[in-house]
Amino acid sequence: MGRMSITGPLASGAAMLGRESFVPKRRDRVFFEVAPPLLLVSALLAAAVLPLSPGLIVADLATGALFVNAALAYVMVALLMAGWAPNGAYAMVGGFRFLGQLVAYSMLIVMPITAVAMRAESLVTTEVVESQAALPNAIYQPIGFVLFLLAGMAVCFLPPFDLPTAPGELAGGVEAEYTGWRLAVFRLARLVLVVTVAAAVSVFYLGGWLGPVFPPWAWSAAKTLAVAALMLLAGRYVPRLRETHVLEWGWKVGIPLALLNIFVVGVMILVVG
Amino acid sequence: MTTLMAALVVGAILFGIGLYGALSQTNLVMIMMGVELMLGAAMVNLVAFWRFLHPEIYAGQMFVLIVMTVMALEMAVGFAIATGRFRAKGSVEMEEAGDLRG
Amino acid sequence: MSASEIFQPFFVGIFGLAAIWFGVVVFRTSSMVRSALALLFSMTAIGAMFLAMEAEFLGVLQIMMMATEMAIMAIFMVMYMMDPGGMEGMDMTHQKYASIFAGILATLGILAVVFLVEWGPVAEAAHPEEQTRMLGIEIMERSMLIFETAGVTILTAMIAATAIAIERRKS
Repeated sequence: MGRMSITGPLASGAAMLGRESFVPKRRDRVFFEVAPPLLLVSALLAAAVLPLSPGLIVADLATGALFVNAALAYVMVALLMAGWAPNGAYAMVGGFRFLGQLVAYSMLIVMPITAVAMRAESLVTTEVVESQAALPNAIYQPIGFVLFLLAGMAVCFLPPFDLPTAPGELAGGVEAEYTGWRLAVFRLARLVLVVTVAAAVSVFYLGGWLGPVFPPWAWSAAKTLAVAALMLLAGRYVPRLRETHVLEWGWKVGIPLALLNIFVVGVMILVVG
Repeated sequence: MTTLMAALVVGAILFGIGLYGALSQTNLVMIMMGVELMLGAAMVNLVAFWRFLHPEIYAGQMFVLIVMTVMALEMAVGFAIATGRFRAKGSVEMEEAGDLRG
Repeated sequence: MSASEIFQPFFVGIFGLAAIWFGVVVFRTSSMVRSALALLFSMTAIGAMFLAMEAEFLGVLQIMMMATEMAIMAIFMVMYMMDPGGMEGMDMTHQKYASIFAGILATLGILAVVFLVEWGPVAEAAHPEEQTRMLGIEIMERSMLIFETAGVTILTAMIAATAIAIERRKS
């Protein structure tokens, strides 16, 4: 125990595929099957509009920045399905607590994106990256950066926002009733979601592929991985937050800060830009 | 032209389904779902008219934005009323809500 | 026929059929959560129709808003419905035949208008980026008053909803 190995995650993933697959008896069949793939699909859809380098984007939508938010909204739908389907108390409580988180963080995802789009004067993700050529948004709009990062961690239900899948308190919560290959899909989907949100942070706030010397895709990858590592590690040092606290902080502190962010960015664009 | 017709037909059918739902259901939440379907059908028609007949007039899209806002607001106030009613009476069945007391 | 002339009716039709099918499921299923999520997917299909009709901003907005709204509706259904799982098979409708009649009458009336009116020529739409910009200009210039009124209305509705739903203090 305690030694880091490269093949560790692969081995446990393969082991999970091989494990026996229990299913709860009176489950809601449709939702039970659909929830993990829906989580994966929503993460992939959000990733599809994020550029790795100037030409390397799956779908260059004219409203790319908004589409990221739209795709992430389906994370909620997937978790709601996963919470309801197994017909088990712990799963349902997990799903509904995630709703509490959702009400707290959903504004905090969209408002920083608004401020970013204001600076770029466009919703196209490639133009958002290019607008940061002079100065990355993390420095230009630090409030928005911190809020988006925290809200991103809440979307991925990472610690300290991991009430839906709390290992200690809710015996695994939403994940509890999934076993075998379905759990593998669920966990894979959650990891893809983390990477997608990290990529979104790097595109919106860290300047995507911009940077000297190295090729663009290397910068994108490096920034995405750095943010993902930050998101995954940060929660270990903070106790888990109850959704009531998340709601309180989100609305009493977060929303005024987000509005202040938009106001300040607006003034700066008018005065400086 | 075929696309316009297709969209309008879809709007018509959705509206009919929504109307059936709004009239036949007894529970407030289900009635609201019927109303949401009707508003959705109206939006489909609005977007079809905008796109195929007057794509240069953006007041059409503005109208759709307002309808979306109305959908959200009507849900919010409707659920607030449902919450109040549930606290007072223990259910939100509209059959029992015939008199003005309570 | 160009590619878009073949694809556009196809996609609008497919998403339209999906919206209709999910709409029917809303009222046919006895499980409440399935009902709410069927409505969610019906609304998503409507959003996809907007995307197929080249109204990109509206489509993305519809998809985004409806996911959150309908998920919240699902929660409320579980709170307020007597049989959220639909396991007991109650029939929760009244005046069923009158409603079916009204629904079919409305649909036929609208279809009559659709097929009997001469709609005129079909015009070209602008590129999606242009559209978002033009919509913004429309909001900020001509429709500014409408938007401000909508903003105040939203605020009023928020305050009203909170006021109605808040518990009376025992004082």
